[in-house]
Amino acid sequence: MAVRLVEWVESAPGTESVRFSGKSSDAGRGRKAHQPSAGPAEERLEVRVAATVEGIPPLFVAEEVSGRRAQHLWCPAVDDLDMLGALAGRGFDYLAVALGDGLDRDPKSQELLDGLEELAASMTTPVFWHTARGSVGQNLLRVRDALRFRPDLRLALDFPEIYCAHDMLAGFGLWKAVLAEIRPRTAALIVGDGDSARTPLAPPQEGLLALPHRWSYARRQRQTLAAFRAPLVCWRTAHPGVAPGSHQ
Amino acid sequence: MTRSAPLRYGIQLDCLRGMPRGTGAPRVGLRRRLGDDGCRQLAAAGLDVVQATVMTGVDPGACARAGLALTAAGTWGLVPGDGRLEPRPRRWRDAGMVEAAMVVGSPVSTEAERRRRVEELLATSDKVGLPVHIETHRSSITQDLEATCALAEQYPELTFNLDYSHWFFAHGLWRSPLADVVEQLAPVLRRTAFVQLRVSSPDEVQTPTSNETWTEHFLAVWEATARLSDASRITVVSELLPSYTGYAARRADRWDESLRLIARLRDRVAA
Repeated sequence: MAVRLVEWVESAPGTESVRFSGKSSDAGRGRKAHQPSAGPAEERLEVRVAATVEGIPPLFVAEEVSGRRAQHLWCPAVDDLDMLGALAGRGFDYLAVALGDGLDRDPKSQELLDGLEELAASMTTPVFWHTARGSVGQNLLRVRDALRFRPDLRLALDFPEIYCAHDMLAGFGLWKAVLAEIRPRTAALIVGDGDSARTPLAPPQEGLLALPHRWSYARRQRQTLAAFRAPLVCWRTAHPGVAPGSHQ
Repeated sequence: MTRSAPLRYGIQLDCLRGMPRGTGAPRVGLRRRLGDDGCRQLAAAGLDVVQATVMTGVDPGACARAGLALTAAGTWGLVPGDGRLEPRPRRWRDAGMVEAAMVVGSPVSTEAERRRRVEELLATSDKVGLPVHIETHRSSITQDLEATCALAEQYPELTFNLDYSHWFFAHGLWRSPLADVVEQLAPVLRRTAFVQLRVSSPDEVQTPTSNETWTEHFLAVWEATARLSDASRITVVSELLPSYTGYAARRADRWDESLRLIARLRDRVAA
């Protein structure tokens, strides 16, 4: 999946902007600079990209600046994780790995997470757990519970995916405590515009009635971004094609 | 092939709102309940059931005169302080409704909270004398597949309104073989007495039914449900919502789509 790394620029209508440049600052303390707290591997991941919010739509305008690369991968089974070691030294800034499928339960899901932790410990390239729909990371409550028992695990939190999966248009406030708990464990935050969010946002030609939905998504995404201050923010630009029963 | 429980088909009235010009659908709106003409039109189209919502109502007398069964859709406890459950089923029963589907509780509920909701719903349903089915819906106590299957196994009297579009969309079920999906969801499918028809894709919680890949997948799940269900009868209503709800990404004649979808399911189940 193609991604571009961006720096989030929080903007009220007009020109206000706050850049999170990957330099210093603790999460949530309101300072503009950012010091990644997730460990030495992440500290190398300084991201300098510009983004601008110009109302709706389009929500975000991203510029590709850093030239850094991220790799998103899907591992349906534990054995697939063994192959990811081959990606070490290939120049990726991090790997975001989705595990299993949406029907997986314990003990398989725990075995997949064990394997991911072992992989992360063995690689110099940071390895994060991707919270994608159709994987064992699709359920925020189960993600939160897993993190409580796995102190070294870090997330690539895919906001469009969790927004869709949990219907946050209907109840974003319910998830704030859960998001706050997983925030310190989030190393990469993936955002998208209304069209690429896979959330049922009506296109602009639908007229004014569609705008509240688009704006709601935009506002919540901004709230999430502002709260997370993740050292990496990925701008997803493309979706893979999918077919029934396919792991891709 | 296993014989299906009898199915009766209908439409949720929110389907009929926000329709494009030129549609042949009966006209309803916030201040325009479905009356005699509309009910006769539904019956003439071969439908047996109407599902009314908070937004879109129907004249119960007109329903009865057209021979349509009247059902309800509602919510309870999605947000804190949502109040008592009992007045809602009681009001529906008194309005002549014969069953109801409800979206219940918070997705961040604990297991104990989910059980408390289910127990209160079952007790109320029994007390009021109205079958109330819990809807499989994101952002409710049925957000989680495994937890919902556990509820089905813990409460033998619990019945569901299967809105499979939410689970397909939320849990990425397009990645799993159909047989695995049906097997894993069987505890809920066996207890399904009400089905809402809507087709999702990986990108949209409501995609046009002309999207044959996903429509075929959904038809197969609904057919499997009809054959697995222990219910003595299953009510099936189309719930293709208008674009302003945030579900549909484009305007379409959802009346026409609904009738086509129902006809296809009817043929499959009868085969």
